[in-house]
Amino acid sequence: MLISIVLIIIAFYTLNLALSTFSTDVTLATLYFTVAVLSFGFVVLSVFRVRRGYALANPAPLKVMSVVKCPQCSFKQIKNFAVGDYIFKRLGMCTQCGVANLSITGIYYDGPTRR
Amino acid sequence: MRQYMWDIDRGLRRLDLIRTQAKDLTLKTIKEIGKPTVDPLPQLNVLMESFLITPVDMDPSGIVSKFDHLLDVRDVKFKADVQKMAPSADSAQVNNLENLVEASWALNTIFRIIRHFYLLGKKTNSIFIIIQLQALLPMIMQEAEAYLGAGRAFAEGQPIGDGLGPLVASKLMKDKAQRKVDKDIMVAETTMEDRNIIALKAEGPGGNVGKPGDAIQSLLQENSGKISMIVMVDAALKFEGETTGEISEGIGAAIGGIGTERFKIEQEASKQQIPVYAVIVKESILEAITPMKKEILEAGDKVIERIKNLIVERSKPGDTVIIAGIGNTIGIGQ
Repeated sequence: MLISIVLIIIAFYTLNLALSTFSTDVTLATLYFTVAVLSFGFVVLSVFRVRRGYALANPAPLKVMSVVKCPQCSFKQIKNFAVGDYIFKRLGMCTQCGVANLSITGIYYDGPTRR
Repeated sequence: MRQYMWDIDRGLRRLDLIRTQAKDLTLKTIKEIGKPTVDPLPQLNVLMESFLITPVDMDPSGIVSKFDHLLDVRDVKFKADVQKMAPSADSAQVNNLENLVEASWALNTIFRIIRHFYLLGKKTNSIFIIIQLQALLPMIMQEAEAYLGAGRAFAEGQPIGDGLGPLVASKLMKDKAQRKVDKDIMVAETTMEDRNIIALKAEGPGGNVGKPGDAIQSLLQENSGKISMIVMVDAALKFEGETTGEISEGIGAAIGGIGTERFKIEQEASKQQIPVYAVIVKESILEAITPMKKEILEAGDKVIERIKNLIVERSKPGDTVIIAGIGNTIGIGQ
C-alpha cells in the first residue's frame, strides 16, 4: 500500500517533469514519461491483483436442480432444488398417471464448468 | 521476498474472509434449523478450536483399533455438541449440521496454520518458509474455496460429488427390504445377473459416511465362506487434465479416510481369501465436496453397468457379492 502511494507520487512528479521539459529536451522528457508510465502501470497491476483476490472469495450461489420422475409413466420434471429435497424422496401422487410413485431421482449442480 | 510476502498476505486475508463466511453460514443454519434457546456462538467457538491427539506410533502394533476408538469418541462428542447447539434438529439435520461445523472447523484450521507459518517466516526472516508457503498457496486456496462450497451444500442438504458411491448403492437398494447394521450403515439384498447381491451404504439422507469397514467385516463373518467377491464403489480424485465422471476399475479397498476402515476390510477379506474390486469415478477435490455435478450423477448408471460386467466376468451364477457404496450420503436416501 505504502509503496503504491510512493509510486503514484513519483508518477505524478515525473509526468510533470516530462511535460515541463518536453519543449526543451525531448529525450529527457521521454525518459520521465517512461518512468511515469511504469510507475502507474505497477500500481494498476497491484490494484487489479488485490481486486481479483477478494472477488474469488465470494462466488455466486450454485444453481442446483432436482429431477422428479414417475416410473409408471413418462412424467419428468426438472425443478429448482428446495431445502428438504433428497434423492429417492417420495413425493406422492403423479399428476399425469395418478399413481403414488412420484419421486426425486436425481439432484445435480447445473452451471458452468468449475476448475 | 517482498512480492511473496504480499501474495501470502493477500491469500491470508482471503482465507480469513472465507472462514468468516463459513462460520456465519454455520451459525445462521444452526439458528434456523436448531432453534436454540441460548446463543450457540460460544459453543461453536469451542468446537472450532477442538483437536484430536493421535495415538503414539512408536509401537505401531494395535494402532488401528486405538485410532478407531479415538475417532468414535470424537464423532460421538461432536454429534452430541451439535445436538446441544441445535436442540430442534432431527437426526438427519444433526448429521448435516455436523458436516457443516466440520467444514468450518477445517477452514479455521487451515487459516490458523497458514497464519502461523506466515508470521513465523516474517519473524525469523526465513526466505525458505515464505517460498514454500507461497508455492503451496494456490492449492490451499483451492481447497479452502472447496470447503466453503461444501459448507453451502451441507447447510441445504444437497448431494455432493463424494456421494457417488451411496448413489449407486441406493439405486440397487431401492424398494428392497433394508436393515441397519454396524454404525449408520444400511444393507439390502437384491439380485443382479443371477448373483445374490448384498448392497450397503451409509444411512441417508443426512450427511453421513458411516463405518463401512465394520459393516463389511460383520457381513463377511455372518456369511463366512459364502461371499465370492466384494465390489467397492467410490469417488476418487482425478489428476489435472482428466475428465470428470470418467470411470476406472481396479483392485483393492476403495475407501478414503485415515485408513482404519480400509484396514478392517483388507484384514477380513485376506483372511477369507475374498477378492476386493474397486470401481471409481474421477472428480476433483472441489467437485467431491460441492454439489454433485450432472456428469457425476449420470456416471451412476454407467457404474452399475460396469459392476454387472465385473461380476459376470469374475463370479458364477448363484454366488453372493457384496457391493459397497462408499462416501458421504448427504441428500441421498435409500
